[in-house]
Amino acid sequence: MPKKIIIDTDPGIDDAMAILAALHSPELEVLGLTTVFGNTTVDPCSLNALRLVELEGNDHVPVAQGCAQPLVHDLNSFSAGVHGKDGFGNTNLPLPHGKLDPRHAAQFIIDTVMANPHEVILAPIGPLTNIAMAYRLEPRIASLVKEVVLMGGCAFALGNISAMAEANIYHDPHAAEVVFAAPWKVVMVGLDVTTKIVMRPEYFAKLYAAGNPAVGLLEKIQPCYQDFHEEIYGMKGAIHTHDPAVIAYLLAPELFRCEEMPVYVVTEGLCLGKTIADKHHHVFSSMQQGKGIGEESDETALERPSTTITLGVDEDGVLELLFDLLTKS
Amino acid sequence: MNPIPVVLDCDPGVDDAIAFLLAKQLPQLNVLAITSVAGNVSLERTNYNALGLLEFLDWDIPVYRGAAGPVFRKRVEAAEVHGSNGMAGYDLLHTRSEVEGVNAWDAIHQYALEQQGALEIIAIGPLTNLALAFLKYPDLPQLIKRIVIMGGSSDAGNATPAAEFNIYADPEAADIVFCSGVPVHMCGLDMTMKALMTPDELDQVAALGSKQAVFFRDVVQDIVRFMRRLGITGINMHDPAAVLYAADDSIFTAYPAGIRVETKGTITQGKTVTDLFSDAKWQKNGFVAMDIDRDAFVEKVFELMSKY
Repeated sequence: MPKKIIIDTDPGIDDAMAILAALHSPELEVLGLTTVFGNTTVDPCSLNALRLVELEGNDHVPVAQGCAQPLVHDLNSFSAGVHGKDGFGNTNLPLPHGKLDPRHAAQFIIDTVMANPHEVILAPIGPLTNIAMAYRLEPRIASLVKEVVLMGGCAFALGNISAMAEANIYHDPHAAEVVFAAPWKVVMVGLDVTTKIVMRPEYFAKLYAAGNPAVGLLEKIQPCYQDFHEEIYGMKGAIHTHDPAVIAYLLAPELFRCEEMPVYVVTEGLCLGKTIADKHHHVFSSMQQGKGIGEESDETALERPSTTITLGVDEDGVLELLFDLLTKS
Repeated sequence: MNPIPVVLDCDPGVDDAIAFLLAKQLPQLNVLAITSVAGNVSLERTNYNALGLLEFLDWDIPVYRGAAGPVFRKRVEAAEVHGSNGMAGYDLLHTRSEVEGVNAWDAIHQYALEQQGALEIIAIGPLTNLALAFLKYPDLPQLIKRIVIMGGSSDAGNATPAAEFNIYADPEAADIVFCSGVPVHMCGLDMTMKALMTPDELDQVAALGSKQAVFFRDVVQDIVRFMRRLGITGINMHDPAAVLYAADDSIFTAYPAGIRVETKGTITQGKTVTDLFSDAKWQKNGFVAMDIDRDAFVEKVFELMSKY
């Protein structure tokens, strides 16, 4: 039985790679794509989602559009320099033929989870606005979702969009705080591992040689993403592998080393959007008694479920797995 | 090469004591004075311990009294780690009980003037004294060559999940220091958590036989027990690593960074925000030490301790 997943996404160049890999996997059944603002505004993200399902005749996979802005903050900085204004590296591809599901993404998530109790895995690879909305509208989904495996955050790694914050969490920190506090199983695939999975120009050359429509699309849109990684990190045509890492985790969790700890999201100040992983919670709660903020945060810490945080990864294993998926005809 | 003229700003403190033991023997450093600050324990205690340590080491340099608490907030301390007297219960012999009649910040300024731009500060406690010095003397940034601190963490904390103790104890002071214009070399938990000495290595130091070498091992034993509760075998040499960095940074890896301190956040106050390579591209105001050659560090400790 393939795993049933909903990919909540803001495509996005690495989103495209993740979605195409998922669609190619016989072990995953993609019940739908739900779209959210993030890498660009939500409208082009939805167009891209439709383009992706049409690319290889997966038109039966519904696409539902979701939130156009964060729960609380104004739209802050889009990653437009990273993915282009159209989300696909400013390639301005032909419009898709398909139509969006009439429901809001949050409603689509609720309906799908309720109809498939204990079976659906939510795989958010953009800001967590739709996921938080769905949970707020229908809290029962927390016990009916199988797990939430998200790309976002950095437990002990430094940030990418800011000194301390990873982009998906930064774009809607309040939504992320709702998701990490909710009583469901969350797996956080963040920068602690995704910056350790590096796709290099040789990898792309071999990938593109497969010649199927999926890699054909990636070959068109990828250069913008490579340029960004060169400009910021000096990576010379190589890229970090963010969103596709979630698909790799779903198919082969044994490639990842994880630890369990509560996660808090910072919703203010210089650390806005940082995920704080409370590694030594039990020890420090006793140290901080009666001493201000430690005491306060510990009270809530007792209530907070632990998140499974990916901290180590078998880079070659993930790259090979993704290569095999993407090059399938 | 002439040794570097330094003022050692500290809050002894068990690992401060080890820092004293090493600093006295480092040929690269000329420690002109000690300035004390409230931190691991109260100012009265840190003064008392500083004087006791100098007497124990037969080290004749002045101690200047610093700040009794943070610039704005309520004082916190780490007596759980260092013992209620800050020295794991050790009461060092004291025949000399008086500190100098000049405040730490005034002394720092005076030394800076005398050294004509060559002075460096090694600060291994909360940064209150330095912040007060910068606030009081606007010419001070031009007079100090470099500040090496033990404090902060680019990732997780120890006082709270986000913040390291020395910065958490006075975040506003720390931010003033990072923004002072003097390059700040941050020896934080990223590096000091790797500056680990094992119980066996502590025994080997004690086996060197001097009273200082035996003290080295014995004074840290409570912390070794505390660390075991955290799942760590041995002791992290936070302050000593910063002192060694100031003397010779060749066994360390540090990167230029933009560094600020979060002073307001509900769960992040006292966190150092270190921009090493994000899209934000903050202006660089210092360096973050990220790694240490641990074996070389331990070797250096043996070398210095065998001089006693």
